[in-house]
Amino acid sequence: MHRTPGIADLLYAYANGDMDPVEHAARVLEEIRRWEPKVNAFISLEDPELVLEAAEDAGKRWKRGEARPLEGILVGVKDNISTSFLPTTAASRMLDPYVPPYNATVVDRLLERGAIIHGKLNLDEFAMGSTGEFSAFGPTRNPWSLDRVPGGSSSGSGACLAYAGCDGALGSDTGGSVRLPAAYTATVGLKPTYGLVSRRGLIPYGNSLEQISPMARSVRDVALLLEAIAGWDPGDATSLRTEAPSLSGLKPAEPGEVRVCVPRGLPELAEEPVRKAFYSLLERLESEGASVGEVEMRGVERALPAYYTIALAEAASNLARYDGTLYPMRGESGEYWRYIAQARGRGFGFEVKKRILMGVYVLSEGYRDEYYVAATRLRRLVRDEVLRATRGCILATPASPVMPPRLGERIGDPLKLYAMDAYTVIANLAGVPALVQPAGFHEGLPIGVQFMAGRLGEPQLIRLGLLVEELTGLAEVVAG
Amino acid sequence: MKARIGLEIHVQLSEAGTKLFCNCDSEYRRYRPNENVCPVCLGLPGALPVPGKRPVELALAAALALNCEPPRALVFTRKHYFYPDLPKNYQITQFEKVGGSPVCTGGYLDYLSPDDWEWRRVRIRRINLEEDPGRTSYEGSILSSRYAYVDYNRSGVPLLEIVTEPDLKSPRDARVMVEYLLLTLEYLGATNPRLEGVFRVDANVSLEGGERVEIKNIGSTLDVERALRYEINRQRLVLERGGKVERETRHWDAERGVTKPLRYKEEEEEYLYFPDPDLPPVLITRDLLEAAREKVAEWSPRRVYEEILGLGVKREVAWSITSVPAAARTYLAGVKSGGDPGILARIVGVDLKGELREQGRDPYNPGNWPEPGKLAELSRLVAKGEYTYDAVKGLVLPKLAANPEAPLEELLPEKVEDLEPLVEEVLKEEEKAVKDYLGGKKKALNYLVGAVMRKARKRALDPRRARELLLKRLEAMKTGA
Amino acid sequence: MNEDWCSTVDKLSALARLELGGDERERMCREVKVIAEYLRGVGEALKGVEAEPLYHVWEEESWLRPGGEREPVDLAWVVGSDRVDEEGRLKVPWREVK
Repeated sequence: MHRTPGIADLLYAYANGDMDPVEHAARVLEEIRRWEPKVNAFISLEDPELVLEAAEDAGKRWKRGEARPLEGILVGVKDNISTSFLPTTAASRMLDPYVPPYNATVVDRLLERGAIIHGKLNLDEFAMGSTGEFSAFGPTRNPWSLDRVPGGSSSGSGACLAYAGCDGALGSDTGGSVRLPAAYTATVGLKPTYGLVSRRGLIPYGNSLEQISPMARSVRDVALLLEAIAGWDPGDATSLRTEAPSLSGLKPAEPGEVRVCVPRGLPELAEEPVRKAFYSLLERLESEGASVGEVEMRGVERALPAYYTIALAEAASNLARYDGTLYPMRGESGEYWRYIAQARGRGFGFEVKKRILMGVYVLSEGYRDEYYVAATRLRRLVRDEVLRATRGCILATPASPVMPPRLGERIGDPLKLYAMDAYTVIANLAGVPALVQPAGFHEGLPIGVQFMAGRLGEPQLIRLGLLVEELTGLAEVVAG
Repeated sequence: MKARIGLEIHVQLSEAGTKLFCNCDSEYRRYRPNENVCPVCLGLPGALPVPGKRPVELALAAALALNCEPPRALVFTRKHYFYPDLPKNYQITQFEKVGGSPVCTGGYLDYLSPDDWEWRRVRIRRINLEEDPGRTSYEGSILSSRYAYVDYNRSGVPLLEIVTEPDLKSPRDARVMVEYLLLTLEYLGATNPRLEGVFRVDANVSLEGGERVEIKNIGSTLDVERALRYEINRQRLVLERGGKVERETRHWDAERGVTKPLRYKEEEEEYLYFPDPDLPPVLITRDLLEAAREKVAEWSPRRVYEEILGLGVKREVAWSITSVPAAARTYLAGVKSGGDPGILARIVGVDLKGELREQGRDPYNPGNWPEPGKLAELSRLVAKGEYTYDAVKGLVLPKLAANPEAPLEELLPEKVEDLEPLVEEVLKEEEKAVKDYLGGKKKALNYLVGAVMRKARKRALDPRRARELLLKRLEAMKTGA
Repeated sequence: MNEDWCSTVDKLSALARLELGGDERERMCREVKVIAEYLRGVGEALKGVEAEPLYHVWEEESWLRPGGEREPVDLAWVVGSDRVDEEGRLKVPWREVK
């Protein structure tokens, strides 16, 4: 383990002339050359020449005093977020090599603020997975332990941060997809309030649940990224008409003003090392003067099946469009109905097919009320419970019930795979922001903690996160 | 045998300006294939629909015009089926179940039958606001074409699906209703019914003792009547021969003028409806509602027709004016600026309209109508007796139809001021007619008036004055003789 | 039991227009059964609970787009020019022609 400068450090160093963006970019490219053959965090990389040119431009802007908020910062973007300058595959054969004719809103916002997008990051196909193993481009490995997964679905986002192959990354979080990778790679992931960040350009999986989400190696950096991408987008009818919150100047919370509560029974679902790390962090907070309590919440024990029911229904619908007519993968037959079934059969991996079939199942006439509609009713219950609980405190849970699994360990049994999301899906059902950051290590493997606040409670989360970072000292750490 | 007919009418909101969920053009006919498309209406991954204000306003106005109770909010629902013209393989439409809320769930339309001048009522079951799919064409037949050729220019155009109860009594009745409905929507500025493919009709028809048959793919109001007439005859024959009319879906073949059973068996319907997660409900605010109400109140075929009737105009002429919105606007504005209601009605509703048609100029195009003040002036001149209606009709209207911009002074014929010499000439030349009249044949006077008119050639002359003068001279001749 | 689930899987894959290859069908029958039974647990959690469905998490209304510039894209660029005919229409395989 060692430390490497994060976004805030880099901006400071650029501003003072202590570091040059070209020098930094060259170092990141060198890490990528060194680690990528082992880790497979990227699906496509921008031409290094272009990256260095962009860094040179950034350097000039810093010298001229015209630097923008993220001038010269290298941000990797999950490959389900549309870029018109690099293919966007969602890690699926179906879309290899689809190049969108437009940029996602968040991509435009990053570019306008001077960030350099140097590559597209690996993921589970269409973001359907919790380990990063379901990519058509091969699994991503965890830089902290190469026989383990980095978590998914934003597997490449977590992994590139963990080996310093990027300064920041965008992932997407439908049910924990940036928070599991954050937990498994000792990085930070923040799923924003639903609607705070535009989804325009995000290849959808579960539209009503997901948000494009920043990842970085520190809470401060995640705040910087979120500030850059947040805010109303007229091109997304579900985006909230609120001002982008001011997050980068926030100070750590005072322990005395912190109130944390733990949903009763939830931590007990976790493996022992996880539980231990979780409770020892809470004890530390308490000893600093924070109040730590428990809260009773109805419905959360069934949040997981409710979440999957809704996500799969939306997925089956969203993925209907991939039929071999507009996108790269084709069928063989000359007969339309066979042709599309072939294209879909060849283009999707098994996990995606399974989720499509389950989505059709829960929406079909005889089952819709018992499954899909029931899940939306449970969703209301969970949302109301979370909103009620977060009025008085910040909810704390482990980020994942398990330690980073070995490759192949969890994907054989669908229920074991889904169970990895037990803590994270609650925030997606409830729409509230959730932060995962390192809580500790066990036998060299990272363990994460999750905090959830109420709607638009991002500032509270950032302030608590900064405090926790001070207590654990776990910021800007990288593997190797 | 009594027929029960219900219709499902799809009408594009062609005048909305934009597509339902993106800024592409709602009038796609002017583009080359696939030039009126963007990520949203192509359904590209990550593109998101955002409801347009105009399409929603127009849909709401249509619902109010059809006497629907407006919903609290509009909800858009995904309806899934695979077809090449549907780029997402689901259509964003509306549904009354699973959290859905269509723009109308019950209303009615009173429509005028120009056959018996009765108002009739059809109940409206439901109206959905939805996306039109793209257009597919085939090489030769749909059954043998190697490719389906898809043009997405139409994909996403706002479409109203209007479903009636089976209240219609005859093919003619169904046609009249559709025509009135389209006119109503045209009055709202929602659609231009004369655009190619702007509306499609599916019809349900059943006879007593038979099952309900659906006819798809009817593309004109004339064909609504033809298709239903054919289908009712077909069903009647089946029943009269003791056969059974099965529940089925048939296809209208306009070229051959027959309905044909669909060759493929329709699959079990499983549309996987659920509310579109990308589209929060559109709240029907007081502002939206007020704007829609105003639109409906200010201008509707019924209001216009009754207003014109109230001016003493015959219903045939009143309807002739009402049925062409540009004519109706011209007429009402003309009356307002002091035109003579009766004479103006004849000009607008009969003769200028006819003249425009004659000359191949579209009477629906407001640009083809003269400025209303000009027509009002013309009607006043006739009313004052300065010109005869026939002179205006024969000499002015053809020129006005050809050039609505032409100033009136240039169009008005020279007036015959020196009538007496003309009368004298005629009395001299038409000895026989004069003799006949003096001999008691009163009809000969008409002939003499005509002769004077002919002598006036293209100049304007008041036949009443000619008649008066002739009479005076003839009486003088009588007494003189 | 598995046979029942296999017929369900066949129905679902026909509806979803999804061809299952090789050993996929067998495995799918097993896993779909397990997942379907797991997801049914949602209904149980709702016993005795009054809750209306929640489809949009914040229950806010949509904003209405006032109209604006068209942003057309070139279909041939997106799908590749070999999939577009001379007139610009997308070519979709339709009928097997010998």
